[in-house]
Amino acid sequence: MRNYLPPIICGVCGVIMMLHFFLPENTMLYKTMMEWVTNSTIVVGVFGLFIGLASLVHNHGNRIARRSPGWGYSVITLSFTAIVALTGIISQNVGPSVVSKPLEKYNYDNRKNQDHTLITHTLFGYKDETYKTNLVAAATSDAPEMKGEEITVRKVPLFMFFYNYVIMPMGATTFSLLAFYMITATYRAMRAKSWEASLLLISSIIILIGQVPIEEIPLIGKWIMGHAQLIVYMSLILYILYAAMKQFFSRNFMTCGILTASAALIGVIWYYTPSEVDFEAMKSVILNYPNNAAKRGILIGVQLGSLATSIKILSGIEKPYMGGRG
Amino acid sequence: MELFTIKSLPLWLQYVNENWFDLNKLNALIGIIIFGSLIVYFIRRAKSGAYLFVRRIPGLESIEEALGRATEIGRPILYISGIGGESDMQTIAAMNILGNVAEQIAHYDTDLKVPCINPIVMTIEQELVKQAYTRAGRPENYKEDCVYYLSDNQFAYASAVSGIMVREKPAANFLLGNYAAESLIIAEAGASTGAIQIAGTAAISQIPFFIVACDYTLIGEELFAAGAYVSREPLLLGSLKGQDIAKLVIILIMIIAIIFDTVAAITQNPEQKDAITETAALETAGTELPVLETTSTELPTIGDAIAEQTEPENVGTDATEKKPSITEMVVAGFINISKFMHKIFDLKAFK
Repeated sequence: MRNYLPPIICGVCGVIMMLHFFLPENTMLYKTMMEWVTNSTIVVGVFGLFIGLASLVHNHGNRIARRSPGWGYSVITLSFTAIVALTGIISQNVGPSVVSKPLEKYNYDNRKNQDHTLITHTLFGYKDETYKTNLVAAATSDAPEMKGEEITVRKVPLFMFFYNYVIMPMGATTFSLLAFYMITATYRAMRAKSWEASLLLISSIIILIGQVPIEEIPLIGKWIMGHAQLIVYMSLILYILYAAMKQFFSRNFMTCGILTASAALIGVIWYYTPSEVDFEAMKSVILNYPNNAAKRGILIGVQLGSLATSIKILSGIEKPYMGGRG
Repeated sequence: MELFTIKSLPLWLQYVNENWFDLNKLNALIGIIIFGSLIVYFIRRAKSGAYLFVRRIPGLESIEEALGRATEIGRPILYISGIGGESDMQTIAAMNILGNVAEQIAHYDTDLKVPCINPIVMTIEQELVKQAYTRAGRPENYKEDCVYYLSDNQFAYASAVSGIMVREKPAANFLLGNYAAESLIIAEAGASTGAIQIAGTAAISQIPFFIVACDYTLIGEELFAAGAYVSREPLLLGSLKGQDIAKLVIILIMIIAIIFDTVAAITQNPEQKDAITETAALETAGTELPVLETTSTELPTIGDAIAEQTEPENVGTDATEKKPSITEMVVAGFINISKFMHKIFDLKAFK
């Protein structure tokens, strides 16, 4: 029974969900089924939350009990888990005081006549010069719009305080690391080690130039923008001729011939290309045609893969929910 | 132009459309039936013992190398199944691979660490790993806390995983499943520790990050093929073959559709060609074009546009009097098939 019941439940539920997809969306049956699915997900989600919490406490509790290396971090994790959970339970009126002041015609980043509400935390003092910084914070808080000139003090729920001023900035900090990681990743990707890598390098440079306001670079910016074709085609032809020369000295005459012919072909294409083509147009061509074609190819494969996996699970060939194969 | 409209259907079919079956999703149903049948057929063939060739996937070939290296240097293996939930197909595919990887790890007696973002996924993966150790005949080596929960916050999870990579220095990192902005953070942290990294995702925007930062990357569908490839079970290989044939069918249909569309476009009426040139000239001159009034909310497909260009009423009064030539009839046939294919591959259901 233990082996047969779960695949039967999985198969039946799967088929029901598939049938649900084909129902017209305005029917009562569709809405009832949707409600049932949503409610079931919430119930399972609540159980999942307890399981997650139990795992977290068990894992970090063990590390503290065994005094494993870095056990201090586990103490911090467990303490803050408890604190944040408590802040959600206690009254909404408990929390730090916030000073709100209307700022109806504040010129923020040259956007005039913006109706903003300014919020400044009493924890860090009320200062006029922190207007701009706090304006960003105010946009994410649940402060009501305030009219009039007087300053009002009100309470922000503690949980919201933690969410807006601890969790969100920390998340944003981690996210901002992405910029640095991208630079290191780009450096690795952009080394012209092979023919394919060189193509990648050239196309990425075109997209990069097409994306940024290169004409604003003093002295050379406008020249670069005006000679887009010359730069791209000459770079390509010179690179291919260089590769052909290398092949010639390696006595690979066949490859050398193909490369030279390719360089000539590119020259012909250059001759017949309209002269008003710029980096932005080239960027659009790269993104809209080869890039889109590759994306769609991957997408078709992914959809078919998903379909095959669904069939395998519904028919009980694969049973990940039971810890393996059938 | 539509092949048919709902109002033109018989009353009983209109009733079915309103209450039981959304006819706009008919294309999805046809697709599911055709490709489902192909997959079931190949599974049956595999069951009967037929040989099925599967191409080499370097990312999956390297799993053994990664596990061997981890065993040699005595460091753990980190397996991350992305940030998707239990109903995400990519997470399910990642879980299938985990079962096979855990079985091999059990043989090697190496440490496995599986930090999770979702508690339900964690529960399933705990069971998966436990079963894998039992299958390998080493249930005593399974450690309860090797699969554990970290946080359901995307960046908190990314930070925690990066921390684990830097502190514990795993010898091999498996990054398989659904990833978003955290992919590069995790992959770069892993690359900085010198670990062998095998990644795989169907999230198109994250694939370049993995290709740059990891040693091997499973691109798109390879993630779904991995379970079958690693286990080499005939049933799973059969489904993989079915999937490949389905893809081949789609490619062939697309090529045929392109040929039909191209032929139809080349053989269009010269008067229409002049009209198009005139419109283009007006556009270049910056003249405002007359706005076409339409009641349909859908954009016309390429097939519709071609059909409208070659239809007798659009050609002029002389054309309606002439008897259609064989070429025109063939072109009309092309257009109809082209329209049908556009209808089938509109793929509204996948949007």
